[in-house]
Amino acid sequence: MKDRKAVVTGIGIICAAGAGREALREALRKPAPLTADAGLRLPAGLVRNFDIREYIETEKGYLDRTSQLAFAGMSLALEDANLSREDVQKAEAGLFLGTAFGNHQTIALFFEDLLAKGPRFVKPILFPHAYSNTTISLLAMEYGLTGWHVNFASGGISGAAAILSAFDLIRTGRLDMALAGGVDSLTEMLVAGLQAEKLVSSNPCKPFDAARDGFNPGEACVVLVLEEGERARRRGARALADVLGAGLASMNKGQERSPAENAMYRAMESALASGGATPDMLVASANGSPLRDEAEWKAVAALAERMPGLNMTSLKPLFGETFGAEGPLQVAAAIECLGEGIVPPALNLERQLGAPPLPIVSETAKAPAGARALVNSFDDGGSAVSILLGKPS
Amino acid sequence: MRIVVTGMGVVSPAGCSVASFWKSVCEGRSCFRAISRFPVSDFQFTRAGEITDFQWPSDLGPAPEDWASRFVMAAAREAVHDAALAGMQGTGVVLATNFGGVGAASDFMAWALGRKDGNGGTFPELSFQIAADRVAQVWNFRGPRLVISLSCASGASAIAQAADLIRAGRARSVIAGGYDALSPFAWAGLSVLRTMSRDAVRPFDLRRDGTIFSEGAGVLAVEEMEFARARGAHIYAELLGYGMNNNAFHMTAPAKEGAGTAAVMRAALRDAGIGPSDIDHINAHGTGTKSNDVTETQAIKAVFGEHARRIPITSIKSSLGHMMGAAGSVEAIASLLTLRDGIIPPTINYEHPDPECDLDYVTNTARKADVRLVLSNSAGIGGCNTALIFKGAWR
Repeated sequence: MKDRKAVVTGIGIICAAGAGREALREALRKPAPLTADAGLRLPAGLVRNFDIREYIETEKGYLDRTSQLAFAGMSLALEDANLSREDVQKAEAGLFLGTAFGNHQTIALFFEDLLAKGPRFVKPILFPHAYSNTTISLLAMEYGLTGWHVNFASGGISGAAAILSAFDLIRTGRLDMALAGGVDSLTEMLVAGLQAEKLVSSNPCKPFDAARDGFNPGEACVVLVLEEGERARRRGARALADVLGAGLASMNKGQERSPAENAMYRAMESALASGGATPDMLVASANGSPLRDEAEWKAVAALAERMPGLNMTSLKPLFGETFGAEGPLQVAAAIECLGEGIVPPALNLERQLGAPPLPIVSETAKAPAGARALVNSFDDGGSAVSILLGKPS
Repeated sequence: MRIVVTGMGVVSPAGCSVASFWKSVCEGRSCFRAISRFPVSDFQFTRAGEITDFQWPSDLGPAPEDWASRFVMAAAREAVHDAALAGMQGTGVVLATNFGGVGAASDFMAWALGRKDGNGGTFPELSFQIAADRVAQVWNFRGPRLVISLSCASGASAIAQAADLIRAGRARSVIAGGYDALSPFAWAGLSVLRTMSRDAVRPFDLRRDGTIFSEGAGVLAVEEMEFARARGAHIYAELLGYGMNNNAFHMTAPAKEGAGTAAVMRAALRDAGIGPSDIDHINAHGTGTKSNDVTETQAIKAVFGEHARRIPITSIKSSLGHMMGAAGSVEAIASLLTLRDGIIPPTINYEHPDPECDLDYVTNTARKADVRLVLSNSAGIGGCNTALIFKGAWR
C-alpha cells in the first residue's frame, strides 16, 4: 500500500468570526474574546447576519439551522477551491460530515408538537429533517454527490473524524477527492442543557487557566476540500496545506493511570508518527473545561520533549466550543496561521493550571507559526483526534 | 489486508441472543405485538417489534436509563465473549444508530419545554457518542471510537467503517454494530412517513403495504485476519468487500430503478474483487414497502443480469421487522449464519407474486442452500446505501 499525499485545496467556513476565510484571518490577526449574547445571557460564538439565500439556489421548504450552516460551509468551500458542482461530481468526491447534535432544533420542534398536540397532529415535514444524516444527505442531493457518504455523530470529534476518514481513504488510494467537515448549531435548548450539566462559563472562557470554569458555546460549519496531491497539481489547484498525519484514540473514565493511557497523548503520538515530523505550533482542544484542559495539558506535557520549539494556543476564546465543527474549524485556523506566519495567543490566560508551564502563547508575545501545525480535537466521553498539517510542499 | 468476523451478538424481538434470534427467523416466526413501553392509543400504528424479554446483564454494571444503550451494550457483550476480545484493550468501537439516545433525551427536551415530567439530567443522551463510550468503558477498550449515523443503512455502515479503520492501520480489532430503540419520538415520526403496515410485512408480495419497525442491536467483532489467527480466534467469515454511497435524489423516496442500490452493489463487488456471478445469495433490504422492493429488484437485475434469477433472495424483515439502525448489522449476522449453516431464512407472508418482483425469493419456509458468497443490502432515509459481501471462512 503506497501512501499518497493529501492536500487541502479549499476551506469553507462560517463561524462567530463571520463567513469566509478573510473573516477567519482577521479574527486570528486581531484576536478578541467573545462577548455576551443578549438572548443567551452569556458569551457565545453565534453566527450573526446569516442569510441562507446567499448560499443556495434551489427551493427549500424547510431547513434546520444546522443544515443551513452546512449549505453555507459547502458553498464557500467549493468557491474557495474553484470547483463547480460538475467538477466535484466528475471527481466522484466523497462526502464526510460530522455533527455532535445534528438537527436538534428540528428534533425539539417535532417533539414539542408531539407533546402538545399528540402524534396524529405533528408536522410530517419536520421528521425527515430531524435525522443526524439529514444535513449530509441534503448536501449530497444539492450537489449530486453519489459517492462515499459518511455522517459522523461522534460528539466533539465528529468533524475531526470526518477529516481523518477522508485523509485515510485518499492516502490509501481509495478516493481522489473528499469534502470533509463538521457542523453544529446553537439553540437556547442546547445551551440550557449545557448549563444544567454545568459545562458553560458565564464569563469569557479561560483555556489552560487555573481558574477556568467552563467553556463558551459556539456554532460553526467548516468544510475542507481534500485532494490527492498529484491530482490537485494536475488541475492547477492551489494547495493550502498538506495533511501529514492523523491519530485517533480513546480512553475511559477512571481508567487513565499514565500519560500513555491518555487518549490525547496517543492521538498526538499517532499523528506525529504517521506524519514523520514534529509540529512548530499546536492548536489545542482546551476550552476552559476543568477536566478537558487538564487531560490535554498532561498529554502535551508528556510529549513536550518530542516537540521542541513548540508554540501552542487555544482558539476557543475566539470562536467558542463548536462541538462537531471543532476539529475542522481548528484545522482551518491552523492552515491560516501557517499561511500568515502567526500563532494567536490563548486569550484570558492568567495563570497556567500546572507546572512546569507549557509553551502557551501569551497576549504580549509574538510567536512564529513555523512550517507544521498539530490540531487537537476531543470529546468529553474520552475520544481524541489529532491532525498534523504542513505548509504546502 | 483481509478482514474477518470473529464474534456476533444480537438483541432483537426475535430473541436476545444470536442462537434464539437465528432459530426464530429460520422458523419464520413473526415478532410483532402491541407496543407496551409507552402509551400508543393516540397513534395510528400500534404494532411493532418491541423487545419484551430483555434481561439486563448485571455484569455490565448499572443499566443506563436509555433503552438503546442497554440493547447495544448487551449485544456487544455477547460479541465480545464470542470473539474472546475481553482484555484486548486496543480494540476499537464503531456504532451506528438512527435515533441514539433520543428516547431518554426526550425527558431532557420535556424539561427544556418547562414540563413537570421532564428531566434535565438526560441531556448527555443527545450526543450519540455516549453509547460507544458505554460499550468501551465495560472492557476498557481504548482503540478508535466512533459513532456514525446513516439512517437505516447505519448498522451495515458501522461494519464498513470498522473495516476502514482496520485497513487504514488504526486498529486490529473493532466491535462494530447498529442499535436503536422504540420511543414516542421515533414512533411518531415513523408513523407520519407513511411507510408502515398495520398488520404484517410482506416483502416482494403484490399486496405488500409497508414495513413494521422493530428495535434492538446487532454487534459484530471485526478483525484483521492475521491478528485473529495469531490469537486463535474462531473465524466466521471474511468481509470481502463493501460499498457506501448516496442516491443524491430524494430524502425519502428511492432513486429511480434503484440506481443508488445498483451502484453500491457494484462498488462492493469491485472492492471484493469478484464478479456478479460469484454471488450466490442476497440478504435483501426488503422493507415490504411498495417502492423499495421493486426498485431493489430492479437494481439486482441491473447488476447481476441473467444471474439475478439464480440468486436466492430473502428479507428477514418479514418476520423480524425493520430494526432501524440495527437492521443492517442484524442482517449481516443472518448472512453469516447462512454461510455457516447452509440455511437461508424465509421471507414470510408471501402469497401473491408481484410481476415487478420476479426473482427467486425464499418464500415462507427456510431453504437449504450451499452459499459461499453472500451480499447484504441496506438503505435508508436521505438516500444512504451500504452493501456488504461476506465469504464463508471454511471455503
